[in-house]
Amino acid sequence: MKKPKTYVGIDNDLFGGMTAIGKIIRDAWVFGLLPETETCEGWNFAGIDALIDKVNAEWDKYGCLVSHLPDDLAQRHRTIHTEAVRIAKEAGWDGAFETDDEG
Amino acid sequence: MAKAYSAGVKEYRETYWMPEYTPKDTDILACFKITPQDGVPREEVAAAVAAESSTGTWTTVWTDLLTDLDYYKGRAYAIEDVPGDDTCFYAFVAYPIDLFEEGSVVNVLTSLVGNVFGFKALRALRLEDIRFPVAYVMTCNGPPQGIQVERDIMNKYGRPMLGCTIKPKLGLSAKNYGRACYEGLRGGLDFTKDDENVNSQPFMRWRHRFDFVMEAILKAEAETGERKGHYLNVTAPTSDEMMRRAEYAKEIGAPIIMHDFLTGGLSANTQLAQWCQDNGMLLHIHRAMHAVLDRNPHHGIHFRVLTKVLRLSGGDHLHSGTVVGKLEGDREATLGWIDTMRDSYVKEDRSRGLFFDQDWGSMPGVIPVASGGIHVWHMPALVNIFGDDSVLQFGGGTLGHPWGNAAGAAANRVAVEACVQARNQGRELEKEGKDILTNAAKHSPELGAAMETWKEIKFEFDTVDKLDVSHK
Amino acid sequence: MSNVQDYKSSLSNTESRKFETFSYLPQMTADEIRQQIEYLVSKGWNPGVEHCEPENAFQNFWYMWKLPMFGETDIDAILKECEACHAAHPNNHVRLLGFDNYAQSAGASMVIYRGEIKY
Repeated sequence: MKKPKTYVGIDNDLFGGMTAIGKIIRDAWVFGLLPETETCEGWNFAGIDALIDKVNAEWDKYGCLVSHLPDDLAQRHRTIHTEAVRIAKEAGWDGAFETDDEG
Repeated sequence: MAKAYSAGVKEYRETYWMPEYTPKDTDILACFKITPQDGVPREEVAAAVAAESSTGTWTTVWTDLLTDLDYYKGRAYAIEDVPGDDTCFYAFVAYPIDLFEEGSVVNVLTSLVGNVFGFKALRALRLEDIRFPVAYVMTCNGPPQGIQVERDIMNKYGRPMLGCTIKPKLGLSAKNYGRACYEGLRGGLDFTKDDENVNSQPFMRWRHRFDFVMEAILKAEAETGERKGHYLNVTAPTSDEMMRRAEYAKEIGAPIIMHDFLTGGLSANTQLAQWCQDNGMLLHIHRAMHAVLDRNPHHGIHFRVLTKVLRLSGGDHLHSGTVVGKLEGDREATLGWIDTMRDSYVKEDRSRGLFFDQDWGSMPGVIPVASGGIHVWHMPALVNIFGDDSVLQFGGGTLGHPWGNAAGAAANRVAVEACVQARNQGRELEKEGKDILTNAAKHSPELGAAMETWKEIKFEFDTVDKLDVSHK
Repeated sequence: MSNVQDYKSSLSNTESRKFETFSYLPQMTADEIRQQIEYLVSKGWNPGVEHCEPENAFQNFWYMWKLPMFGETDIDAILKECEACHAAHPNNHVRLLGFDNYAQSAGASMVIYRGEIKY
């Protein structure tokens, strides 16, 4: 399978976006770096990379930990990520998928 | 009086089977599981193994009479049934210590398993265990730092340490790789780890990786106030290149490096361990390729032998299997080789696969590393089985957390601390595990999310290589 | 050239500072501290109390509070020393150690009173 040159968009990604890139995009929604309607479909990887840098800078303000987020951001995080887990599970994802390939 | 010379093939049994022999304290002892060809008597095969792994050739040659064969020969001194398996038997062989160069596990292995495994009289052969006399142990380098010194270097006491292999293995740029390490360490892990086959591929050269990872370590340390490390993989095509990478790691201030001791080779490994000792560097050892040797219950080398060999060659951490994950050997055998890694005196215990008393003298111990398919729900069992002197590594169990790496790390750190706290309070970890984790999750949304992602586990697994302890 | 992250914003977040074992759990209650002391004594370890200003906590060596209580098995006596150290140095981290003579290492080490972290 040829490696894609652009991102497929979070809703077309594995399990509705339960991937490293998907998590970045969701965090970008939480921090208001992207509107929640933006799926990043068609973005090239340089664009994704730049987004990663911006998201990282936001997380650095809170020591990378969700439990350090102020209430309003924590609320947004909870809502957005709970929905993402729901979508992923409906598509058949669970933790075993993440750990099963390890010997 | 000199012996007369008589040419021709002698039966091995005459010379090498000595059931009346009492092994000396200085002998190296080996236990082989022998599957003979049909029709060959046991004593003959056992004697042949003793001969072919020491002084024997397929016929008597006149040069035998120039050496004191009696002094140097391997002696098969005992034969035992294998419980539950009629196709094979155990043979015990004693080798005089002077057969081996001091401090050289390379030489010991070349002698014991170098020539005998292809021998025609055998259908299959497995080296089950070795007893190294303390006289030989003392000639060996051993772990560069050892468990206690590692705790002092990392300032971590009273709990298991936590790690994570950074994935995906292929395709992360060095900068993003460093970021992944940073998030894991920041979230609460003690160590992150290069994957065993990340050496210096075109997509990420070793120097860039080392630089970005070191930056991540320093930043995580400054922010958390805790010591952090990342096992920088120095496995290389030549030992010169391996040493160059190790030196660079030291130059940039890394506390720990890693080596794949079987594929890298024992000669390189021993050299690296001695350098680590001289330079105050911790050494993490990966066991890549071990299953080629230890998976078949009738042929190869048992993992407990590999752990002994590694402890002598030198390493501060060694992957030991998880017991609770899938595909793992049974609990008793694993506990046997974990004791072999850590303790200074391990008694013979057939129920745990230990065929000999093993005295390690004052050689420091190796920390067992549990890695592979584990997650937060395994934590109570892991703390219970492995105890504090261990490193628990959660790869997918950290990076697969739905909120990201740091959240995965925090979930694991809170889980391990809650289990340790509960254990100290006298609670039964494996029975009350769910309660303990649920309670801790009240203060940690990261742990709560992890507990929803992975399922509570029941331990049911079928092992490939069960210990042969049950008689038919 | 590496893209150096902005250090200041995280370093100034004092919530980030941890101090090893149990620092990822909430501050222990008096009862929980007592249980840890019981565990330490049951293992045959020698208790010791140390303290340090939070900004120096990264160093290996903290200030010793008196000497290690060699052979002390009275839980209340140990607790009293912990509390006395805390009272004398209310702004410092106070940690309890259990020295294991056989392993020649500390079997336990935990911060039981958390000082106020300003940096």
